[in-house]
Amino acid sequence: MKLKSNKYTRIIPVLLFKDGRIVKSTNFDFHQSVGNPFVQVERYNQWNLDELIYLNISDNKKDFYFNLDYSTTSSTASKKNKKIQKINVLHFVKKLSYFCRMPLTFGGGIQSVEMARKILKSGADKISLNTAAFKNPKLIRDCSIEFGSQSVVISIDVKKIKGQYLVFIENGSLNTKVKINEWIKIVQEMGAGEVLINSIDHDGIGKGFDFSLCSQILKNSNIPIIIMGGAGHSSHFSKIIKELNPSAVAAANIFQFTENSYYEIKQHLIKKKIKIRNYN
Amino acid sequence: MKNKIGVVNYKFGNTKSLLDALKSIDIKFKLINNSKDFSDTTHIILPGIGTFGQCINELRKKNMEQSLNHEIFKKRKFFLGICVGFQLMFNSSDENNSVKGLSWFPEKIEKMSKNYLLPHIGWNKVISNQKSSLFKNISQNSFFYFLHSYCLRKSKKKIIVSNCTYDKKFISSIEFENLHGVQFHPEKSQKSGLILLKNFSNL
Repeated sequence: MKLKSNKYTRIIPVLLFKDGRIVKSTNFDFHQSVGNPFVQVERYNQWNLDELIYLNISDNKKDFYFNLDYSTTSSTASKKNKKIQKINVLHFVKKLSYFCRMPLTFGGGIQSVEMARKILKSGADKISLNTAAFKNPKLIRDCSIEFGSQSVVISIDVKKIKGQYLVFIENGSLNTKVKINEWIKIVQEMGAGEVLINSIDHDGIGKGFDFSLCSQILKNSNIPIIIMGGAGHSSHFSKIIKELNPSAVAAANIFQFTENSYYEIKQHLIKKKIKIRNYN
Repeated sequence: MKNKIGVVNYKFGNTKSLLDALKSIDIKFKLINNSKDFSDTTHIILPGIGTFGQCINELRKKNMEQSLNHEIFKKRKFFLGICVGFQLMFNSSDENNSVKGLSWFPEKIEKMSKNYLLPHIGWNKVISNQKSSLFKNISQNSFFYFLHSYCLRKSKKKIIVSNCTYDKKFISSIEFENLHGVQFHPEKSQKSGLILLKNFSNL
């Protein structure tokens, strides 16, 4: 039986963080630096977001060199510059959550219940698991028992290969050859609270969401599904919500590159009579 | 006298978000780790995350129940319970039938309908009594952030100040004399939540 849920669709910006900077990604391949990790969160907080997802895709996920001065990029600046400091991921989450008056999901490099606990204690409301959960599905169960399923988001990267949607791990670089629906079934059984689906094929293209992927997943799941990958225009949001009604729709680039985009997308959805959280 | 909020600090409160929110609107606060810490506070917030049983047991382990009763009923300090901290103000909960809550009110916290996805998570519209002191300057039908599977369905009418609907209508906040409680998370409810916290701190 399909369970009923919250009738207000959430619109969730995603920030991708790599080695000290917020980056833009296209098909998971190309990462272009677009800004400072704290300034972006502060700006987003002022936008009155429904929620924020912050994914750490750095190679070293525990410590990174980071310019606390905000102004220059850490990748180009010398590490001898005393403004460049090594910052631990927990300290980083503490700083991030300081700006967040909205639910914050943090993911990237969480491989144990202990690490998850530290991230949540540092101020995240939910943790997102991807590769580690795939390699050890028991981690999902352990985390959901320990923190409640509402704090456990399973992030899944999907690519279409010969007509089949397959799960990719390690930041989208490794094909597990497991079909998406098989993995979602396990994830649900293990007690995940939500699933974030990111289409590698549609990532960063801006041509709209992957409808066939989305409808296939929604048919086979009974936990909240967040759809991501491909948003480039307000109409992409209204179309997928009207036709398929996922629990939430997420995007990265459109919110970073288009001024006022969050507000405009919400205005567009209200005009289309879609039930969302409005501002009053 | 300047108002100062004591935030009860125990294992099952997600206190960091709350403290960050209080900081962002310049509200004076301190953490309450034991009963002595209450001395210079005028207001008390009891957060709560986890189960009803876990939370009340942890409070009792820290000998907080007696001091809370003393601060609230003898010293008449303003109290705000958030989420499970709100549920603890009642007698009991379907979540852990073997334990009693702080029992300031006689009602029981009930499990929400199993035909709906639980927990009830996300933003939902709150219909508030406009005379309420907590909802001052917050417009009708404002959205607040919820995260819970148990709720208060029935109560004495005069203490109810807001309602919300998920599976069915439930009570999203109460006020009675110096006691206040909200089922949602004001610290995660953007501007509306900050106004509510400000209203509480100005009581």
